[in-house]
Amino acid sequence: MTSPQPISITRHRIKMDGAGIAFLWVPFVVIVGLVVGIVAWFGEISISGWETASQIPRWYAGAIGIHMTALYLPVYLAHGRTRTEFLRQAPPAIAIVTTILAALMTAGFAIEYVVYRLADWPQTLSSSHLFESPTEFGLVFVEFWLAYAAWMVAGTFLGASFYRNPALGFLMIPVALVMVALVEGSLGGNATISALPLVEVLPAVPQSGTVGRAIAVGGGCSVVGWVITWLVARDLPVKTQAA
Amino acid sequence: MSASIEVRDLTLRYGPVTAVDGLSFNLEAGKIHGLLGRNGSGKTSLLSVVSAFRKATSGEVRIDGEPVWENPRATRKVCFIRGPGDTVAGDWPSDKISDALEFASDHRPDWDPEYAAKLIDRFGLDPKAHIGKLSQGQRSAVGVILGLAGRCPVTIFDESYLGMDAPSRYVFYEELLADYLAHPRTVVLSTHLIEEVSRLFEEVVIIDRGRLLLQDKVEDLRSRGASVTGPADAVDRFAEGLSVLSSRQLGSTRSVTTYGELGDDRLRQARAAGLEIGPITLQDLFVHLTDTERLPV
Repeated sequence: MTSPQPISITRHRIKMDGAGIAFLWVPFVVIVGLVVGIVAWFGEISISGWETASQIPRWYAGAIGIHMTALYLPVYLAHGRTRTEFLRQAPPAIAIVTTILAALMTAGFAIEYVVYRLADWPQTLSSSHLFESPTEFGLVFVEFWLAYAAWMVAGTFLGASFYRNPALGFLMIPVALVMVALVEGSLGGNATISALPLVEVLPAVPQSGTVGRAIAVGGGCSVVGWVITWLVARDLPVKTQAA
Repeated sequence: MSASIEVRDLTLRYGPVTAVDGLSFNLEAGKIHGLLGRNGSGKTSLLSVVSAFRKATSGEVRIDGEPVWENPRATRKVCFIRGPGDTVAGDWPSDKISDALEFASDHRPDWDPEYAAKLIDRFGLDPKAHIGKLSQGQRSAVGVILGLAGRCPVTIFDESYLGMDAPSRYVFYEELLADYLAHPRTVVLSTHLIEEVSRLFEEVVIIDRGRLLLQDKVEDLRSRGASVTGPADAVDRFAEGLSVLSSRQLGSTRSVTTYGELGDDRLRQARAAGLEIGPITLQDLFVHLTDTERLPV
């Protein structure tokens, strides 16, 4: 008699992270709406509030990546899963969770479009993007997807590195910054690059707004980032916890 | 539902420190094995490799004949509960006992939710309690629940009673024995509370400084240890050819702890010489055997 199979790590991560994103999205929309409302009450709305708010999910995506390897990978191992299973089954989960996040962020622009139109506010972009207008939803989705995937993957190798050895984790911070800056640069996201810590010490990041180049750079960086995660985590020991 | 464990020429090094040094032994399936050793003897390191928590420096571990490292068929058969349990996500404020149980039910194919609920009740835990707010003993109880209700063919508890009060420890021992009888499996108990737990052991492995000191059935081991008390010269004659683990003298009376087969002839001689022969506890035997200044011949 064969034992029943455990849930796949892909499904488990979607259940955990997808549910977390879905749970947080409505409060996030409400908070952004409140901030925009307060700004409108005291002044004038001249730019897209959602564009500014879209910086926050980048850090959330990074946190999901860190959480996935630094916190959950050891628990998977303690529950009889292998590192290889995790390293094979987590990337589809990252792709799907990124899709959910990018879709919800794109939906945010659509909601903002309706609200701004009703209020007769200009939905002007303050930074350069792959898209010229927030209503180019396909390009909005692609840009968010590439950005969030890069941030999440950077989080996974940072999390694995810090779990393995804090010194390795600190060494990986510049690698993560370069990776994210390259992807953001390919998306034309000067606002995001300037918001990154320590980025001024990095060489000038080439910026471009072409879709093909963005997909090549974003996809390539995410693949390279996952290779780094693989190298760090393939023989990761489960640490002894302090009693 | 039980599996054997085969350890072959296993070595584990942390930089210059050798924690496990060329260990080889087999643990038969379907028994409760005790793993004993002093602090720093390499027990947790050994068990970490057995459960694929760590990669061996050299040698290998097989579960039911299959290498355990990065082999999901083998790792799925092993549940290693270390100290208060690291099979929970952590101390995040949102992590509740119920989250830990749900995680286990997702990943342990033989998870028994009804039994987990019964154990929650027996340990007096609240499933909605946040793990980060539990006492060490309560966290240990969560680890024990995850280990028992997981019903893994190989279930390993390493000092899983840490912080538990005596009633909780006895709940653990009772449940372990009852569930082992109902659902036989291979259990490894690593403990320092030898007297408290030894009644559960069928076989015992003692390691010292990363090396195998001995492996034996508990009854055979106990039968080889004896305390012999009587006139000093008679005791000395009796002990000739036996490993003397300890010796004490008060006036002309000497008491020695011996290790080795006594045999009927020797016992008859002892009685004739007026010597008093008594059993020694597994804990005493362990203390003497691992006394670094008086290792047996």
